[in-house]
Amino acid sequence: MNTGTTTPAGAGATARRRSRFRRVLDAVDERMGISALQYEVPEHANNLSWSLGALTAIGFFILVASGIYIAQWYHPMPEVANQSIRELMTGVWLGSFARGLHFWAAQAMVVLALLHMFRVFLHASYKRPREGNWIVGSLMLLLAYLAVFTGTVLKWDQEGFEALMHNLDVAELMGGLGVWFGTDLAAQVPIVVRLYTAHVAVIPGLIFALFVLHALLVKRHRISEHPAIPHPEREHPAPFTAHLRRATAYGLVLLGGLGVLAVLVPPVLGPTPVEGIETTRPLWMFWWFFPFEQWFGISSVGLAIAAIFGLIILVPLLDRSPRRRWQERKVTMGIAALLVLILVAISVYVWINNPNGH
Amino acid sequence: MAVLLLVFGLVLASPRAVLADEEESDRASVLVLQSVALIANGAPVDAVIERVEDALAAPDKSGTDLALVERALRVIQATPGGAGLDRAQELLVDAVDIRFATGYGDVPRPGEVSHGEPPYATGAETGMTAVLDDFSPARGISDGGDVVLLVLAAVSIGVGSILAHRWRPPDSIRRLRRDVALSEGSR
Repeated sequence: MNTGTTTPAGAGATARRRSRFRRVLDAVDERMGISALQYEVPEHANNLSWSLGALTAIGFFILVASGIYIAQWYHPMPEVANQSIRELMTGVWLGSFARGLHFWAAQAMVVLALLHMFRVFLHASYKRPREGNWIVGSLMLLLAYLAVFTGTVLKWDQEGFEALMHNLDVAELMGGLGVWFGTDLAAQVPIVVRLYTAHVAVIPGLIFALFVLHALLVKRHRISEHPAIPHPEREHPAPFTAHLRRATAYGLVLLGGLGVLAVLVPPVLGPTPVEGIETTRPLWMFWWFFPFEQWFGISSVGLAIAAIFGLIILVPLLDRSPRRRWQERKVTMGIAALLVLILVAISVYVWINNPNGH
Repeated sequence: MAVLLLVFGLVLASPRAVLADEEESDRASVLVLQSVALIANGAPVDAVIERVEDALAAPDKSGTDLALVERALRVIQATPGGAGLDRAQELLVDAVDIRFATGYGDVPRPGEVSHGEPPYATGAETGMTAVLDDFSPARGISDGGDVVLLVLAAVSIGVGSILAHRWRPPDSIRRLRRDVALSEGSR
């Protein structure tokens, strides 16, 4: 009978088991260097707003897992691509759920990345010596956009096809630089097949490579101090593994939330595409670029994309002052607020004037 | 003020309704297909009528049953508010041979690649051989499987929330900031 007390013999057995476990851990650590993850992080970094980067990474891993499942049934030939998604959603066990999870996780990843960058911007965490890491993060955001874009095209419905047409127009305007994005490079191959390889291999591979670099630079520079808490010695530091552990807990919440959305609001698949019409509205995250074609022609779409991402990437080079409190960075914050307001206005414009979205 | 004007102007700026992505086709069969796609994608009725009229006026009428197209146009015009669009879509689909309009053959079988002209869509061709309506899965709980998934999702949210609370740092950012403010104020 278990009396709830530990006998000396039992305590000895537990200690032996623990020391065996410890020896296994040490052996793995000696070979894999996992104790390098035990570096110290400040206390403020274990809060939600400072864990958004880790949550973005968790969103990426949810995307990879659901994407691997979907890929078993997706057929990237134009004749059957749209139909294969219908079959995935109606005839495959958990197919509709996996696609819903993928759809919502993609949007969550972009939202979380934007929120993470907003947090970094607000606290000026991109300032010396972290300028390079901001640029790495910005490139990851650009790649996340490309991943969503290619995923939109892969649906091969009217919305995806119209998105592709814009991509081809912009690629043509880029001349030689756009050859990789156009049809001339491999005229015998359907471009949806090439975009499929980009979506499942090239883009996630690049994101992962940059993610590793991003994480290594975080370790090298340490997590930045909070501008409103200038005395780090007042905080209770914790190992980075504690930060990961709490981020994983948030990740469970994220996964559950995405699961609820995947069940209750499954994504729509549009009609099979027909050339020569333009009648759909893109996903919300492309609204910032979408109406420029109507206003100023197709070349302005490419310029708008270059301007917005160029500005994001160049933030640490444009704001060189040592001040980190947002209250002391009036010009920087004012310009950022103005840009956000313009993007919100453009989004409202698209929402009102182009109601035909999925 | 200038910003507010800009926001106001952007919101109220008049859009160009449905844009043709490229030069309009002179083939009635292609224009009929585009009319079907406009209906399937929920485009405004005016845009559909315009495209059907373009099909009737197209110089190349081969492969198109114009009588059916005219009937479809009458159905749309006779039912204001787009109520007749479903019937019109059926008539328009019957009016054309989609494979004739698109020029695509059958879906290729293994081994049918790299022999002269590929028998499948290449480049940015759509490969479309049937205009399928959009696929909108039912929202909400459809069956017992959805209930199980929702329960699992709720468990994930619950466990995650409990663990996040349990593993919270000793001090919140608000408290750390307050301590700093207090110590600076006492100096």
